[in-house]
Amino acid sequence: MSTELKRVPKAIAGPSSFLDDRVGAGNFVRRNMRKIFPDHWSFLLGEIALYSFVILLLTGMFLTFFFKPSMSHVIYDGVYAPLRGVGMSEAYASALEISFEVRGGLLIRQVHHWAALLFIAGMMIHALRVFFTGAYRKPREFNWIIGVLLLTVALFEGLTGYSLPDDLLSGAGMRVTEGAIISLPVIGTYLRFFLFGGEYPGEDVISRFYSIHILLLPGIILALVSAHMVLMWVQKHTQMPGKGRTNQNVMGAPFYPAFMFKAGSYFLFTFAVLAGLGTFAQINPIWLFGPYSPSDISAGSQPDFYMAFLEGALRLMPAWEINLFGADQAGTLPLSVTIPALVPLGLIITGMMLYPFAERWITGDNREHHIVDRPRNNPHRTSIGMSVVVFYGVLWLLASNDEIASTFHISLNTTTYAGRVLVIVGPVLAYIITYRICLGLQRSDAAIIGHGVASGVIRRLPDGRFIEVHAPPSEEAEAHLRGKEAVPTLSVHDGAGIPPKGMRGSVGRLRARMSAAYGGEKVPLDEEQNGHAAIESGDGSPLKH
Amino acid sequence: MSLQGKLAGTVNGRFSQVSRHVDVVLATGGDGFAASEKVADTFSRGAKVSGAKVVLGPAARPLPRLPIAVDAEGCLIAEDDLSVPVGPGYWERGEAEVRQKGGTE
Repeated sequence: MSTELKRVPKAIAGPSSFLDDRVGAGNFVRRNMRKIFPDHWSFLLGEIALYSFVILLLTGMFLTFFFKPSMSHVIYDGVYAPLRGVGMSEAYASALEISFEVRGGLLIRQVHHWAALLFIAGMMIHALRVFFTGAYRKPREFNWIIGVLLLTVALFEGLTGYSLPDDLLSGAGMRVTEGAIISLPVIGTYLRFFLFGGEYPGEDVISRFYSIHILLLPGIILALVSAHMVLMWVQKHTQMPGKGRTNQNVMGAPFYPAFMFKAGSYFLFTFAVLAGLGTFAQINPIWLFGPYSPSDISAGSQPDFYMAFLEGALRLMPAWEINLFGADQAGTLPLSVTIPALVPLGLIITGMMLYPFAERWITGDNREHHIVDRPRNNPHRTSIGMSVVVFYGVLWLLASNDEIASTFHISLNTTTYAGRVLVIVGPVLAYIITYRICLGLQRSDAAIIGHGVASGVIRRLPDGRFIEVHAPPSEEAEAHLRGKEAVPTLSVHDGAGIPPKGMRGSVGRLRARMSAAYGGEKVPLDEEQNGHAAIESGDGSPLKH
Repeated sequence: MSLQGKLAGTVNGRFSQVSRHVDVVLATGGDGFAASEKVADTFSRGAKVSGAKVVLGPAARPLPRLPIAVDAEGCLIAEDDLSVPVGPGYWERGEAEVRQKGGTE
């Protein structure tokens, strides 16, 4: 058995000695082709984003062959009759040409747009998995930060791409971007004139966004993705707690052949879903919106989903504006734009980046972690994560308050007022509810350890009572539950009850208090065992209780 | 629901149609202005002098009003310029309304 496992498979041995003889890379190939990938569905979420990115590059490449990033004025005379004779920018005309005249153009355009949505959605879901399982902990903090940067850059990549077709909807988005830029203190006006090459909209912005969209940001994303992959490969994978799994090993299937085929077919699944969406689900029908003109607007304009939380923040904001120097021509702070444009994004991104370090500071946990937490086993982390999700969710939802108001016949004012309350109250409620759910789930784990699993077998006792037979959990299930580890806390006192140096000041005392609240064992796994003789697993036979 | 041009309103006064929030265009309808892209901002039809007031939403200022009159031939003419900058706030704006009242244009 063990010699069988250690033997190099023929399919690897052949090519690797071929390479070894020529470039001396045989060892590298031999070792890495047998790299172990742990088996859990949630570890494949990030790959959705990776494969969507590959599809984005391929479809984007195709689109660049036909798109003309120019704002020079043309009169449309293409095949789409309703717009014939309408003046528009060359960019919009070429986007129409891609949609109607280029063979497969509309399909590729739609796949590109869907892939962009899936790319960002995939990254978000992957980030949630990593956060809630604590997979960002030492030694993976850098890779976590790279991931957060990727998400941020992707938002701007999406924004610039969305603006390119120069249709009425993308123009509305561009206008909001301009409003956000001009709201920045001191540099706002200069930055706007710089970006647009003069007055809005000018004739430069499409070609500038084009360079940013197809060259600068994809380059950065590609570099960050590569760094993300290399670091992941070098640091190995985290794994779920389970039988035989420790912080020193990785259990799973080797890259060749198992993971290679799994990943290959997963790429094809992703591609199939995107091709299906591009074929059957219309997205961004630019020919219905018409060309952008700064004096036009259409009802119900919405940004793509990943920008919606910023849009929602803009809509919820009270009308705050401060003039620092009164009537002087300086010192206006349009907070009703600056705050929603910067604060939610800044809070979420900075919070995500700092969280691993904040957690390490609070728990004093400096160990390496390769076994991830089940979300319930670190209830405060999970609750913090859920409040951020709710904060984001409320902002996201309120970006469509016009649609909500008109669909459900609610006053628009009500949706705005409700949103202003919900954005504060929602996260607090989410925190409390999540915390209670986590403790409840921990108790249910303790019950399984203490009382066993309900077997569904009802037995009648000689005295007439009915009981349900509880069976002890399987070895794997029990190992999974027992993988739980109390969240570490700082040791505040030495043996003599004296706090160590650095923990005596006000910051130190706050740190100790936070540590005590954040960490510690909330519901011990074995609490239910005391005083119960629920399971007698000596001979493996289930016993009533 | 969109109107061509940047002004909307009644004959005796037209209001700037550029939102005071993030610069998007407003469309008219019903009893007020609603920025149909940013429906967060709603403006009343407003007083003749002060412009269309903000009813709800993050727009910090009323919409400025362009005084309109009908000349002898029945054409609409603007009697004066828009008195304050249109569109959203920015660093160099200051209290343009106050500045304008103080006659320091």
